[in-house]
Amino acid sequence: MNTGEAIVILLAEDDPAHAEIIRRTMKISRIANRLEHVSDGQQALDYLYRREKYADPAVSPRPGLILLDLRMPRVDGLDVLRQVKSDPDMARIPTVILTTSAAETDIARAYDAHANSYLVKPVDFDKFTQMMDSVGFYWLMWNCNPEAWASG
Amino acid sequence: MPTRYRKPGVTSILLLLLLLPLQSQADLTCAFEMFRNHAAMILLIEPASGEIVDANRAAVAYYGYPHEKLLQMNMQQINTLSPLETAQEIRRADREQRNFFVFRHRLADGDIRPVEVYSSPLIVDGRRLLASIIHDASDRDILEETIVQSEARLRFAEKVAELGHWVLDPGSNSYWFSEGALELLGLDHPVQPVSDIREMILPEYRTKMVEAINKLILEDIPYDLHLRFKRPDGRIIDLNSQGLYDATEKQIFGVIHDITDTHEAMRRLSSYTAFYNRLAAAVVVILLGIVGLLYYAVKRSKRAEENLRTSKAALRSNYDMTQLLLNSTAEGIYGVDRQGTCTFCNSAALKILGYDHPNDLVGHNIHNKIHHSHADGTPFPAEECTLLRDIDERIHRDEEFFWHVDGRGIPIEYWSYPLRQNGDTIGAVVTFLDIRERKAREKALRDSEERNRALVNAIPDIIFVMDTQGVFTDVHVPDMAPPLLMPTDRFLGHSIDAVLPADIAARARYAMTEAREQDTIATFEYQLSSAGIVRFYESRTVYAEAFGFIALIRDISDRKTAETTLKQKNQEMEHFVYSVSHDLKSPLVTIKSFLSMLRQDIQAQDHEQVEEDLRYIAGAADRMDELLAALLQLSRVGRTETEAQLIDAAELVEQCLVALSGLMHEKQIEVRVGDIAQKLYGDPVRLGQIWQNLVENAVKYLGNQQQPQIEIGMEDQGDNPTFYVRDNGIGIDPEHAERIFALFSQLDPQSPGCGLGLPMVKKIVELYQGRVWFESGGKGKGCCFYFTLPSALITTEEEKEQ
Repeated sequence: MNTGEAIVILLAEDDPAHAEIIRRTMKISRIANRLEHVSDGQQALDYLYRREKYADPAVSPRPGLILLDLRMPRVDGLDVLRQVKSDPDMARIPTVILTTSAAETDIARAYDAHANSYLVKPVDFDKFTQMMDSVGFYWLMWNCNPEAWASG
Repeated sequence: MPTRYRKPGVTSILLLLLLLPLQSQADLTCAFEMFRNHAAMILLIEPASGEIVDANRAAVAYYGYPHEKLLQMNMQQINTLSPLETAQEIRRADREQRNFFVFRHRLADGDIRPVEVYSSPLIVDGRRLLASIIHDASDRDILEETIVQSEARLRFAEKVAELGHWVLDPGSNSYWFSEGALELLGLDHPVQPVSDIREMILPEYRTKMVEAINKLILEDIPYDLHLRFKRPDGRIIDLNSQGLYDATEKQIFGVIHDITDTHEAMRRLSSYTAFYNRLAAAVVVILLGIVGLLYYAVKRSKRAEENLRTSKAALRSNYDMTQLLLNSTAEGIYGVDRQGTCTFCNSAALKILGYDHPNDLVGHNIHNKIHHSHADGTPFPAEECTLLRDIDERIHRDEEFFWHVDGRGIPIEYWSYPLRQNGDTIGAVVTFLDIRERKAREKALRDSEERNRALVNAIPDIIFVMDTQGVFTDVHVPDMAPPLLMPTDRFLGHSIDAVLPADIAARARYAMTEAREQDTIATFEYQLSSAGIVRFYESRTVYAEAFGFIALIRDISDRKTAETTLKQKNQEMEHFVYSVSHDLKSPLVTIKSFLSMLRQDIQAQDHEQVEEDLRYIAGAADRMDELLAALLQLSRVGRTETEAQLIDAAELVEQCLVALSGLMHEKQIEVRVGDIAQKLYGDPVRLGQIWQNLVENAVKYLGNQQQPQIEIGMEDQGDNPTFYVRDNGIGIDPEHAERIFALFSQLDPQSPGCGLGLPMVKKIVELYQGRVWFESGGKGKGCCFYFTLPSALITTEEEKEQ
């Protein structure tokens, strides 16, 4: 079980409506963790590497979980995933793909790029809420965060 | 002493007894003259001492001594045999019951001649004397030698023609086989019991054979049969057997002929020709024998029949044999004299030409009878006939016709051999074959070959033939096939390893093994590049025991290109469907989620949240509407919006700018239009959409540019103009080059639009066989989109001419 500081969640989602849905479902599931939202892949990388407006570590604390949409402008979610997983410094950050696509090729590619989980956004809001509830319990409570484990 | 016997009385008695059935002794003088002048050589001899008592003129002339001298000589001076040998010959003659002795007599000039001596005892004046008629046997010896030679030739002929002959003596119940026959039947001893031979004839042919022989002996009906015979070595051969009964000798004489080969030859035209060549050679040899025999037969017939009886019998039997051989061949054979009159013909000649009896031809002018017209039916005058004109030459022709008695023309092949006597040509022997069947076969073969060639030419594949070692033995490049990358002589005689790149050679080897071991068609695909052009090939390899491997090489470049295009289209389609489902699902998730939240917010009476929920729902609904409209528009690109027409590009650009003037003015964009006077032929709405979308796209990505500029123009004013739309906006990272023309791939979420503008441009440009691409210095350095419209230009040229 995770201990210590609360995990920061990085959400990369180009659709503001979807970002709002996630925010609200987290609220319903009483997930109080800090959520940092970026609206495309480029911003996600800027955040992770603390570039430009994300240069200040206070603005961009290192996330303990990344929720990543696949189809995003500029830099695709899959490209973000590949960069994260090929960087030894980032590779251990649990990265969960959260997308509307249930295409087999997307699932395969995501796991090939070492995604830690692949979730399809449910059309039904109740299910969306249940899913986010599970995500919260699983990744924020039960799952051992590598860095927390290392430091603990 | 001899004078005593010169008395007319004595002589007359001699003549009376020996030569002439004189009626009385009155005409003794006359009788004496007849003894004196008789053509036969006659000596009177004292048997005990061998003294010559008298000799007639013929004897005097033959021995070459004067009459007086001869009467003083002893027989021992003439007869070269020793007394012992002479006694042996006398005993032998007695044992053999002959009425003549065979001696060798020396003539006055020293010449020694074989002679037959016919002696009869005579009582003259109480003395026992011998009257001997001397016959010179030299001619017979020569004849016998000729017969021996002829038989040797016959043996050779038999061998070459694969003929053989046999004699069956019904009394001894055994066959005698000639060398040719032994070879043919695979036997090693010339004498074989009848029962053994019958066993070797296949059972179903035995009855036929026995019946034929019985009929031959009892009724003297010659037979001509087809038999199958099992040789001691197990090989089964087809035989043609003919038999003739010799009543005087009480023997059956037969000829056998191996026709296994003939059957084989019938099947294979090449062997067919070889077979007839061999037969023709055999016929020549046989004819040489016949010529010799005929010559002597004629000569002999002029001699005294009495003395030649035995020789003639031998001759006749050989002549019969020759006749049988002549008649046993399938070739027509006839003889002509210098005047063109037929002197003899065999049964095959009669059969081919439809005649019943040799006399239908013999004695007639053969040209007028059978050779009177050309193949096309026009008259063929005798003076133009090679057979007559060049009778001194050996002639061989196979394009002329002989004419059947019923008027049909028969294509024949003939050989003519001159018959010479003392250096002069006395005539010719002509051998001919009915080649209708062969002609038909040749035609069939030609047709078949033509069909094969046509078939081979119809195959679009390059055909390689390789031997079992993988060496190219033949290459066929069909007319319609693309040329080989190398000339054919680079292949012929070379191994695949030497000619093909190592990897392809290895795959070819593998295919060859597979084709051979699994008896299948082994296929593989490969590619070769030459002068920068990559071509794809498919190889199909089969194995044929007769010559090795055949590989059919088909150029599948077109198919490959089509496959690649299809794959691309499929990918595009997949991508499209995926994009649509994803991009439509996204707002749906939004709508459903916010509807649920809306319900909760209404219950909680959180008005602010209700407003926000409704905004999100409306936004998602708008986005869906936008997407659907764009998709609809995109789907219509392939279809004709309006009639194709001739339109100026400048006009399209102007219309586009008018439509977008509000936007331009609002954003204070400076628009520059270069020389774009280019006639286009196409759908004006679709063509206009290219500029409209590109300009809208430029406007969308101007970013925070303080002096936004858009430039529209055309480069390369020649045959292939390139249109462009340039801006000084945010630019595009070159790494997105691939993505920007894909569906729904907006690069900036902050910009309006749904990501269908550039895909639509691409689709329209491709409709006119053109290409669209962009150049950008990178982020913040502006961007320029280029496109071409080749097919809209080509039609323009045609329109201009109209």
